[in-house]
Amino acid sequence: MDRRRFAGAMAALAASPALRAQTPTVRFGITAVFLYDRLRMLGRWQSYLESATGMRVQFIQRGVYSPIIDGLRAGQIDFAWICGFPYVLHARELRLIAVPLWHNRPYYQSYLIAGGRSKATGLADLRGRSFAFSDPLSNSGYLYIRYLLAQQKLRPDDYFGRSFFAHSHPNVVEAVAEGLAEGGAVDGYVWDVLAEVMPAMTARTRVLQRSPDFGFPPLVAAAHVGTAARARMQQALLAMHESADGRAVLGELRLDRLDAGSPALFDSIAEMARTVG
Amino acid sequence: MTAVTPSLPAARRRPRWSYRLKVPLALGLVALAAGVAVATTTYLLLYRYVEANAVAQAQRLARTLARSLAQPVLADDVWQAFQMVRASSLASASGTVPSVQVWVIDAESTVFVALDPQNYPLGTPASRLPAPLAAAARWAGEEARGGAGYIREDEQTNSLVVAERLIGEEDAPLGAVIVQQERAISRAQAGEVAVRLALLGSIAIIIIGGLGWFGGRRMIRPLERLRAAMRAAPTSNVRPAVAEVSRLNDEVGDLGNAFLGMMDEIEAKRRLERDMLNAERMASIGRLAAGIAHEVNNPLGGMLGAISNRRLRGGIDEATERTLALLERGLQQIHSTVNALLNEARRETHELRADDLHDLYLLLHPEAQASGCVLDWRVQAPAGRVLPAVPVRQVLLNLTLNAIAAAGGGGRVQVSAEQAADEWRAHVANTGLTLEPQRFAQLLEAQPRGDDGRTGLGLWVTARILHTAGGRVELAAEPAAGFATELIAVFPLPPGEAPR
Repeated sequence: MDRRRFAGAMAALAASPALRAQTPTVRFGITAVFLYDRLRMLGRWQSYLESATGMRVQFIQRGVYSPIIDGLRAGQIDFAWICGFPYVLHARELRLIAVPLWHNRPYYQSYLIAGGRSKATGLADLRGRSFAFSDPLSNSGYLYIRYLLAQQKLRPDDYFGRSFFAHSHPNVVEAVAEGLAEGGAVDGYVWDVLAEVMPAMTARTRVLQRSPDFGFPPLVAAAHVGTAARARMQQALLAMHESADGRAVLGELRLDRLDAGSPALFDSIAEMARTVG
Repeated sequence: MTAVTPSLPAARRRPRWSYRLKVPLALGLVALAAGVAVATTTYLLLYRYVEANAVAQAQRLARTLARSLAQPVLADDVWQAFQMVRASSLASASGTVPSVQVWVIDAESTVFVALDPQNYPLGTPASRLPAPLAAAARWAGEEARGGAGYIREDEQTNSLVVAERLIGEEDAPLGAVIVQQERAISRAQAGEVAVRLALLGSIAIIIIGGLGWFGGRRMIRPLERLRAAMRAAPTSNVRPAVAEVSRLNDEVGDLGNAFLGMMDEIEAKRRLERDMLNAERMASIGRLAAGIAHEVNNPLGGMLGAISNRRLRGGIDEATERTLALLERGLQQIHSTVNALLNEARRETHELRADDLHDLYLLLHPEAQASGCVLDWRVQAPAGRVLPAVPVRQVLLNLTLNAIAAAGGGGRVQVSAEQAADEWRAHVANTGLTLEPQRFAQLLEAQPRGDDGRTGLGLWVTARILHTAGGRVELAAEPAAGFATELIAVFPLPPGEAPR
């Protein structure tokens, strides 16, 4: 069955409520690696994935990363868009199915930011100050800074006067903008998209440093997902840029397309994770 | 408007304020004062209300936060705590409620999170906070005694500082929530409220003041009309204007009524004065007439005596006897007239007969002829009723002589009589001069005649004679056809008297 015929059959299936009720439901976990509270975009993405895979798709959103990772490992969640850090932590239990291309590259950076009025120019100036991390399982929002400090045999709790997790990248930007934290670590991709959609907030912060390139947060399948379903989902994701609906979703995500990628993209993250211990 | 009263020297120094200004101005000022009073009261009430609310609100906020913040503080979740503090303070900082500041102090007595993190960074020791807050933090650090919260007034910032302890499980002290809330409306809010009150108050005052001004002008208008009437009273007829004012059922109406009464009295007094003047003039004329009458009566007595003597001597032919009788009746009439003038005449018992009327014609005919006018004499004595001869003769004589004079040469005078149930009416009409009703009234009051200087006593005397006899003289509203003036002498007929 070629792809076009398969899509046609699936569209017919989706149109019939009775049959639709019998189709399997896949649970798709999403985390704060992107602006995941944009509900209209999620709705479009869901309908694209449903018509492209012929499966019912249910997005699962959680405030922090760990429930999604736990869900993947426990077989409660089938697919997820997670950060490179938890991926390398559990690479043996997860299957990489796609890596987004941003500016046509499968890479992103971690930004070190400070409040607009702060005189800090780098991480050294933030010593003893308050600092906002995004999530303990975030590469750009935690691991990278932790790695930088670990190279100096330091730990965040000792280095910063006060540090806390704001649970999402936009929250980190807000905490820094409000002055709750003097510095913060955020996903560079999220900051750039935020600068486009909420310029008033990012304007109150300043990027001090950009990290080297890291593998872009990947989309993964849990180990329990069958080969056929995984292939269908992978197909749908990789073909997103070929349909109008898919392109609309990619446009809102400010991504070019999704690529098959390779686990090697995340080697640098794995190296940092090993260093941190 | 300032007007100076010329008659009052004291008032010359001070400008006089018209009621036209004073009353509307007073009403406007009352509206202004009321508006200011209401605005001030509203402001004070609002201030008190907000002040009372502020305490309750601050306590409620501190208590709510203390309960909900225990978990985030225990979990060291700064972001969640910040969001809670921010959300609750945003929720409570609506409308006129004063602004609020919140600090969460942890068990180490440092700032866990503050609503204003720019000025109070995380980890700031509580002892470095402003004194009232540091005191609250110290209180939180002490061992808890009872459930009462901490509440102090900070005079310096005019605010309330409220604190509540954060209590974890098994009463483990976790820190405290400190809420600082302005005690009442902030300066900026007070300014805003004052400006709004002033603006709305001004609009209300302008409307009410305008109505007051308008109402005042309306109230004062009748008084104004009365004043204008009083000023114009001596010279022009102001009765209609005053009567309009006096219809009002209030004090101004009473004033109008009193003024009308006063005008009536003044008018009556004037009439009395005029009557007295007339009576005095008449009295002097009477005295003159009495003198003349005395002088006339003496020769008259002699002449009547001479006629009587001539009769006694006898040898009188018929023509002489008629002449003597005519003379005697004429002299008798002069005597009676003079007596009437003197008001000394005895009550005339002599009743009117056809002879008397004939004599009158004989007396008047030559007069008419001398004047060159035609005298149409159609007078008949009343049938079956008795009238005194003297007044009738005097009245007819006077009126006819006047009519002859008025008709003049080539004129016509008609004298007639008609008998009604209880009165006898003698009509004397003439061509020539017309007697106007106004002039007729003046003549009845014996006012001097303007044209020829005569006093016009004839009509006055006639009227008095008629008055004495119980009758009256009238001016016919429409004279008989072809005549200019017609006067009517009305004599009352004594009821049911049998003819003699």
